[in-house]
Amino acid sequence: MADNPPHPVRWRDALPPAILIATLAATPLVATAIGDPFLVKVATRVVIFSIAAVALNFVLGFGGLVSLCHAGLFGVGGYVVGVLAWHDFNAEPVWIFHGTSNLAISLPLAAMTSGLAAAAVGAISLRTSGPYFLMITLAFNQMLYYGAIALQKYGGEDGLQIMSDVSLGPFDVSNRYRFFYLALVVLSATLLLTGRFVRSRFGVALRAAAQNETRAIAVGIDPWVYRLVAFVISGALVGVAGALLAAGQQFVSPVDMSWDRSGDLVVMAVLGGIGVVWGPALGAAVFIVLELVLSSWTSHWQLAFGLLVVLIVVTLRGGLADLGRALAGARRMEAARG
Amino acid sequence: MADAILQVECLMKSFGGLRATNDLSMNVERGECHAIIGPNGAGKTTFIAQLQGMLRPDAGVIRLEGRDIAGEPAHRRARMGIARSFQITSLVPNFTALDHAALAVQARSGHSFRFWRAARRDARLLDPAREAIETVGLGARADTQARDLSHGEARQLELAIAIAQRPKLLLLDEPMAGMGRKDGAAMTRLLAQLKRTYSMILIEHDMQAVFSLADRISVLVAGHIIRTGAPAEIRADPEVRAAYLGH
Repeated sequence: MADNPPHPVRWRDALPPAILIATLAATPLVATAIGDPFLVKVATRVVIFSIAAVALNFVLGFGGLVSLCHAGLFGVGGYVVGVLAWHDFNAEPVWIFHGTSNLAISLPLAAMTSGLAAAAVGAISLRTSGPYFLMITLAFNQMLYYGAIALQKYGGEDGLQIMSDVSLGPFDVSNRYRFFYLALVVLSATLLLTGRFVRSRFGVALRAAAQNETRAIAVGIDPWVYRLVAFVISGALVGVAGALLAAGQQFVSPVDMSWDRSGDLVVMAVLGGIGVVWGPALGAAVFIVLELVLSSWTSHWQLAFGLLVVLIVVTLRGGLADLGRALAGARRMEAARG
Repeated sequence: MADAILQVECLMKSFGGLRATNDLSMNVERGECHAIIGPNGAGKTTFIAQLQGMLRPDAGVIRLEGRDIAGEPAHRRARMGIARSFQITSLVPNFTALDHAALAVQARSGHSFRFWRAARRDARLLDPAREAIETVGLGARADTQARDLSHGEARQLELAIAIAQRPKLLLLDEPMAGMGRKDGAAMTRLLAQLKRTYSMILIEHDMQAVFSLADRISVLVAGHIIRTGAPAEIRADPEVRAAYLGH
């Protein structure tokens, strides 16, 4: 497991995520300056996958649970937004309720639904551990994936186009810039929330159980319940990310739910660093930018990408989040020598 | 007998054909230090693990203050007041000594579904935790991560965690295992102090420590207690000498 010292928050712990958020917040300005709106689209994608990777890492880095069903849960959130918008557009009630394109309603519903799905998946999967947990979550991911394909009414394999304009309460967020800042606020909140959770009593119990289950049980902590609750929180948050992707693209599709997308989220987290809350956000940013740059050079970009990931993970055991510390260490060593 | 904190009756545990615990009965009185001695492989740690709940007995009764707990899972038994210090040190490598004790305090003070406040700034956890750390003499190392503690210090921390649980019954599985003579003597002095406060079961190979600390000693051979008595009686018993002390 990664290095998760449970010490109180120090200002310098808050610095890297603050820089990350500030950098992201500046991208629309840069996009306007250089007249390239595509940059905002990329930044939005980075922000949304950052939320997903940070959410995953709550159970991965702090709960010691390698889940491969998070793309499925991500998709559940997306489909809640998509389906509600479809009913809104077609003026067809969902049972006794109206559909809606208002994210103030559909985002919380997406979080609840994916949280519930996570509760069901977790209640069963958490009876196992290690490779079995991995395989069961993978199986659940595929169930959700094929479940989405089976939704013939909502586009099945082709996915579902959102025809109405999404809003947030009275605000229209169909504007690309506004939507970006909405997503950024959600990312900031996610970082803040998970940061608090990790340091709370709940987080301490969760981490202790992840790193030494015998010890946690011996002092009176039942790992199962804490893992389950962490899994539900993580699932709800990843559902919000999926909901944002659907709303931002005006489109949701089973493709985003396939199991290799779950793998991508794990790679983002590990790449950025699973020992700190903000690590996976950095990982998601690097992942998406690299994917974009490398794939514009060659169609065999995944080969180069894979090598890079291996290189980074092998040289920086705490992921990219460790870069600062590693550089500081090298400088200290040099200073000592000189 | 009326004031037994722990009563064990006819406990059985087999691994395949091996009877690790064979019709084991004993009791621990309140405030007593009850040592269990026996040759290697006698089933001492297996017995402790069944008391703690990590192992399920095949049959038998375990009563803590009169209540049968044999069916309770380990984490619930910990909350009921059973604390175990492990024979092989079991710590969280990147938690500090103080973090470990605070974890124990946290676990005994109700559920941990508290999400907002930083646990490491919570005086309700830290104050009792620090007290436990200081009791075992680790005060100066409170903020050291477990991975950086010496073997002796890690053994002390094991004990501090158990104390921080404020248990009714302390299960000490070779608290001096692997310690040098000096650390071992310090641990013996520490246990002598604690013994007034806690009821405890002590497993230890250091016979000097056992005979100086124990109020009663039970001799375990092949999963069965062959004799229980005051240290002087045990020392004089010919059968015990033959089974264990003789060599």
